[in-house]
Formats: sequence, C-alpha cells, structure tokens
Amino acid sequence: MNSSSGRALSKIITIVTGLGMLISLYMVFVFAPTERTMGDVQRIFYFHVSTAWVGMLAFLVVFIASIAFLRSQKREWDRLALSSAEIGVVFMTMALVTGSLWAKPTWNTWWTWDPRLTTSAILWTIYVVYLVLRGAIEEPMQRARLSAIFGVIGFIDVPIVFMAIRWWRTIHPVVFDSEGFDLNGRMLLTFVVCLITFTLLYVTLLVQRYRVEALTDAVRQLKQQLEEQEILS
Amino acid sequence: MTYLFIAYAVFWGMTFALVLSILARQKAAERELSVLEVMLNRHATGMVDDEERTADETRR
Repeated sequence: MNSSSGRALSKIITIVTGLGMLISLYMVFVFAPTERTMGDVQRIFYFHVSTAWVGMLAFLVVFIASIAFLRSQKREWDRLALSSAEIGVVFMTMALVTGSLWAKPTWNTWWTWDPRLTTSAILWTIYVVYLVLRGAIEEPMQRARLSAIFGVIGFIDVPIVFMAIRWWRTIHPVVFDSEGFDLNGRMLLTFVVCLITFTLLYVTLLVQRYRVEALTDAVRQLKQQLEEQEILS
Repeated sequence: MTYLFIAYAVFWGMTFALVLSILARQKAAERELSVLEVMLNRHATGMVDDEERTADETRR
C-alpha cells in the first residue's frame, strides 16, 4: 500500500470511528433501557467494558509485536509494541477509573481487593513499568530487546484478568459466560456497537501513534547522518 | 447521575488529551524532520559553503 492510499484509508477509519462514537453515545443514553436495580449509573458499563477491552487488545498487540521483534529484530515491530502499549495504558487507566466510579454507587466503595480489580491493577502497573523501562534505556536495539522480553512476560496477566471472575469468587459482574451474554436485546446491541466502535478507535489511535514513532526514527537517522558528515555537532 | 457524568467526562478528557498529545508530537517531529532535510540538502548542494562565504565577506 502506498502512502497516499494509506492516508486515505486512515482518514476513512477516522471518519467511521467518529460516526461510530456518535451512534454509540445515542445508543448508550437513548436507545438502551434503564437498568432496573442500578438505574442510570449502569450506563457507565458500556464504556467501562469497552475501554477495558481496548486495553487488553492493545496488550495483545504488544505481545504479538514483541514476539515478532525478537524473531526478526526489525524496528517496525518495536514501534508497534510501544505505540500499542501507550494506548493500552491510557485505556486501562480509563477502565480502572470508570470502574471505580461505577463501584461507588453500586458496591458503596471506590475500591475493593476483588480478584478482577486486583489483577487489573497489576496489569496496569506492569505496562506503566514497561513504558518507564523504555525511557530508562538509551541504546535503541537494547531497549527494543529488553522491552520485547518484558512485553511477552507481562502479557501473562491478561488471561488471568479475563479469567479472574470465572476462577475465583468475586463481586464483579460476569458479562458473558458459557451460557451466553447476561444482557437483554437492546442492551446487548448497544454493548456490541460500543465494542466495535472502540476497536476502531484503537486502530485510529494506533495508526497515528505509530506515525509519531516512524517520524521520530527518521529524525534520529537523519541526525546521525548529519553528525557523521559533521554538519551537526 | 453525577457518577455517570464524571465517568464519561473522564473518558472524553483522557481521549482528547491522548489525541492532542499524539498530534503535537507528530507536528514537532515533522517540523524537526523538515529542518534537518533542508540542512542536509543545503550541504549536499554546497549552499552552506556559499552562504558561509557570503557571511564572511559581509563581516570583513
């Protein structure tokens, strides 16, 4: 794909994401019925689960890109891993904050050391450390290698977070289990639309964030070239 | 209702902050890249030497 068709595709995804967001908001606040016991506060659920989904998807991409980097040693995979990790951390933060805002009126507490909440907090910490670690290593290839190893090991917590509400006794609701979704028709449709929209939002952000890394690499290479020719001191 | 409002405000606030941060970094990198490209091109075509010579003559 050449750069102009790539840019056109990126524009289309951005527009579709924007429209998806408007549709999602309409569905969350107008289309979806009010939940009987929790009331309006239950509407946090649609964006809370979607942000958590994006966080986990982003960390899955970090995992895949890290393995690909360790196999190929290509900088492109490292760029992808870093871009995805940054987005993942932001969305995991949103998931933790919105979850806490949902917990307060529902469970009467901002935080409890429930298996799902605890493993999610650990997951968030792992990827914050991943980003800090990257900032602490100067040499690009060494940084990429160590980050890739960290990215692979760190991913172990993702399936644990997902399974926490199935393996251990928890007060966190289970949205879907082996018997299907625990939502009615309109709620389920709203939830699915939100998940699709947030996935598109993730792709849009990833494309733009990756571009930052590609540009930064180009700047670094050019600076090196200029230093070699003694134009830049 | 307050919790609902705060939750959505947090989401939109953080999303916009992320988007603006990405765009700002993109613009900064693009600017730096174009400056470096100009420097490299100038050097390749010998314009730097000419400009330096003119500057030296003016100083004298």
